[in-house]
Amino acid sequence: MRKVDFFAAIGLLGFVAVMVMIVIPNENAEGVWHGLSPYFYPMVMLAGVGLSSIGLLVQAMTKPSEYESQPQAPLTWSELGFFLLISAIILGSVLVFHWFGTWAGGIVLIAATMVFMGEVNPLRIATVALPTLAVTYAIVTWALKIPLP
Amino acid sequence: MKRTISTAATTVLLAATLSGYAAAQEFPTKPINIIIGFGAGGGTDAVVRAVAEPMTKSLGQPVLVTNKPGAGGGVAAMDIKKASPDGYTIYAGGSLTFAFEPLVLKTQYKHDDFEHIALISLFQDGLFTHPSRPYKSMRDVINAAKAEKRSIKYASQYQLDRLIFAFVAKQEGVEIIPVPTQGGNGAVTATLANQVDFGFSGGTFGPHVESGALRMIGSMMAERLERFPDILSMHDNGWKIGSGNYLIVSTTKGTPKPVVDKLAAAFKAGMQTPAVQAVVKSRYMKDVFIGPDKAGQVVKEETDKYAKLVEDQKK
Amino acid sequence: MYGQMIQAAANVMSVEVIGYITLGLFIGYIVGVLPGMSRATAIALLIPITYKLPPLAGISFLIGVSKGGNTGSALTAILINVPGEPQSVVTALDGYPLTQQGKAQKALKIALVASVLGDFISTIVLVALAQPLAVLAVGTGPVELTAVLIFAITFIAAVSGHSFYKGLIAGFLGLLLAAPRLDMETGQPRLTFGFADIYDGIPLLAVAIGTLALSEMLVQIDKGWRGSYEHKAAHLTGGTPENRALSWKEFMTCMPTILRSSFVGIAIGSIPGMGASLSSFLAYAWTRRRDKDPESFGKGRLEGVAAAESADNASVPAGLIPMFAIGLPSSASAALLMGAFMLHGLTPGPFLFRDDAVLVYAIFIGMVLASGIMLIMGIVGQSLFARLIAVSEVILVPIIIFLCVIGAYLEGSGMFSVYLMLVFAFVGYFMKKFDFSFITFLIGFILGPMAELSLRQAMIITDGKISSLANHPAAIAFLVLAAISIWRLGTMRKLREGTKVGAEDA
Repeated sequence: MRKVDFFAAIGLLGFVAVMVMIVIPNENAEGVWHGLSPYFYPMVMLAGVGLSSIGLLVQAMTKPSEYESQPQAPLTWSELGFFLLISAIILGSVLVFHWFGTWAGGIVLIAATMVFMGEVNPLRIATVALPTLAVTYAIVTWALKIPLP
Repeated sequence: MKRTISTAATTVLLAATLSGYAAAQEFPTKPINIIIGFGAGGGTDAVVRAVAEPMTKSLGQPVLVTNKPGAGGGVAAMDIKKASPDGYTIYAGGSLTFAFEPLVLKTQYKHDDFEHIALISLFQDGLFTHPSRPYKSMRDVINAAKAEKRSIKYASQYQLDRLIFAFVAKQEGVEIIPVPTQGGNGAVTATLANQVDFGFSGGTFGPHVESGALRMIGSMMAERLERFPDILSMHDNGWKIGSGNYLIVSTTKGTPKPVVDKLAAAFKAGMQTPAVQAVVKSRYMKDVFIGPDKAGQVVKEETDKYAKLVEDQKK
Repeated sequence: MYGQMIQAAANVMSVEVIGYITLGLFIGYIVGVLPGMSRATAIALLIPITYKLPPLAGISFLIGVSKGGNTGSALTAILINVPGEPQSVVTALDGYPLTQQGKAQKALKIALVASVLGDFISTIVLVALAQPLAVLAVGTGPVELTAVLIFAITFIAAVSGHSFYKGLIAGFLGLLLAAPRLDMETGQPRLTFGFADIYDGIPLLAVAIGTLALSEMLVQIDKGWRGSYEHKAAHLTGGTPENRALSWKEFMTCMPTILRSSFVGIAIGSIPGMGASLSSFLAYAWTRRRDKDPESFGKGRLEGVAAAESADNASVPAGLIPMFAIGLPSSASAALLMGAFMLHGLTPGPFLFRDDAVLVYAIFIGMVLASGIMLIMGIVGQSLFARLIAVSEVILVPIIIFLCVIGAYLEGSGMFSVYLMLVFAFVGYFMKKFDFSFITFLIGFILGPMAELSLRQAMIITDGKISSLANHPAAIAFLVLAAISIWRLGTMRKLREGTKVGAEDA
């Protein structure tokens, strides 16, 4: 049995159950229709996800040979930690981008990501960040004429 | 008590107007953003982009145009509602965004949450059929369906046309079934493929009617189409209903009147330039101009008309 | 028609259009060479830039990026044995040994010529086939369209990824993601959770940039933590003059291979979901089998590089055949191109030929022209582009992440799109890690609204009677094909797995 697929399938089945039993009954897009109910399409897709997940579940439990060529675990806990850290860095920079504008957000984003990736020389960070920002800003506001935050 | 409030209101308004004049003298001092409530490629987009050029010249500041499609213009309208009331952020799109959407969707805005600068042209909502079908008018379609004892299917675009044809169906005692399509192009495509009895769009039909690929059979407005004066309108057919979708420009509530007037004048002059007129003509729109004094009133009248339609259909 | 063609040619022959094609090829070439940047990523990031361009310039630009990217990816495969795109794995089989023998220049030259010829032949086939197919397709109504879409979606899901069920799950999730929007019949919000910004559907670029571009950057960062960001310098110099030059005789020996492989590329490339990897592998295998000395392949045969590159590049224009003919994207980059058409208010498919014939011909002429420009650009710039291989991820990744944020912002919904893009980057990262095909997911998402609309139109037009399917034999045929592809595509899957390349063709 491959644990990853097993848990992925369980998770997907849970998602389908929540959608079918809680989310959709609390929705209200009903009204006059002649072709199909508004919920026919999402229901069919959810049924598809559900049935395929059951298939995956069965496969994961009964046919471990299918997975011989694949690595056991896709992620270790430490990798997940790093991933969450970089995600938080990006999210934080985007918040700066939102509140303080393109220049502040862009510099924070590029600098923080570079530091995270192991570049500590501020001069090199500046030589990457500033031209990138200047060129992007120029293209977007002057050539495309779209206002940036 | 009432009088006190209105006096106070007048005083505030007066003060706002006076300070406004000072602001309007200099307006605009920075670029003006027009946000189109619809995607690129449509009639709204073409006209607004065209008029931005002469306005940039006349106002002396860049007039920037962005598209922010979503919720029938509602997403862009919310941006305008929240913007600071200085006239630098302008909505451009269909007047249905204000006059109809709040009636059928739980929008967070009402038609009177804005300063409507002007209605700058009128979409020509037309009804058309495939030339292989024998119909010459909407009456023919109804009669054919009655004679053959069948329902009528038409290419529909949004809720307003469904309500209007539900009204017609009730009055005529026939079943009219909307086939959902994606925008004016979708409605034209379905009709070109001869999948429906007739189709509805606002101007997209133009080139196809000219080439003979489609035949006009009606106007969906209370009045007739400008380019097809012989085609009957909804009122001509005895249906006391009609659509009316203007290209409207609006800004945030509380924008000083002088600023609104200055913008309206710029729009008016811009619309009169030959380049913009050519675009209006090529998109099969009608050249009208209703300024800031009347625009809000027209939107209110349209809202009342649709509110009654929505109420009637609920019964 | 000839009048339209002349008009189209006149439209293409402007400084603006040719300039944008060249710029597109140039950027594409760079993207192909840079590690970790795929064509689809680049297209997703560049679509917002084309908003303000006229449709012809904008779309030719994006097609240029697509073509250039495919050609450029051969450079890294040959020089440092790192395929820039999945399909270049096959190019590296003989390309890298040639480099080791000091014949890097020769290998690059045959790769360039093979790429350009494959691309050119395929473009001609596209021009010749798309319109007749479109004429056939005009008669099809929503019933047929629904059947074709069901077939396409099941087929793509069935051939993608390592696990049949995971392919299906990814496809269904993509289709499900298309559900939140105003319902097309009742006009009421469905599954929108109160966000008016998604009343017209979840923004395409937020999903595409998130799952394709940003999630890939997260994977790259991840790799760096595992083994530091090492990079290799390219060895272009050295070698005797005869090892550097490509002789006429060598070129002519490769010619039959190039022709044959181009047609393999066209045939496989035009089938939705099959993509470039499979075509280059099949072309390589075929060339090798026909050769008198199959053992010498993998040790530095020019024909091997020629086969892989011509098939690979031929599959790009061929992949646009189903899009132009019936409005069906065959790969992620075709799907994104289709999105670009739609953003310009054009709907790819049979009606595009009738409504905008001049534009379509102009795009075709632009594509032929692009082949020529690509050749010149390759001859002049190959060695310059090769220097880009040395650009470090530490510089590249942060810049691309920044461009992801800007790209999502430009789509129109402002910060909302940006946050949504971050969510999908997260989703895409885990899909990659758990081995669900995000390409299938994306194609499902793009085809979803079309599938639902045509299904519901079909239900109304046929009055919901299954029996009326009898009037639509073509629809029945496609539904049967769909059932077969769901039931047993094991052979296809084995074929794919045999190539040792995933289904992640961009």
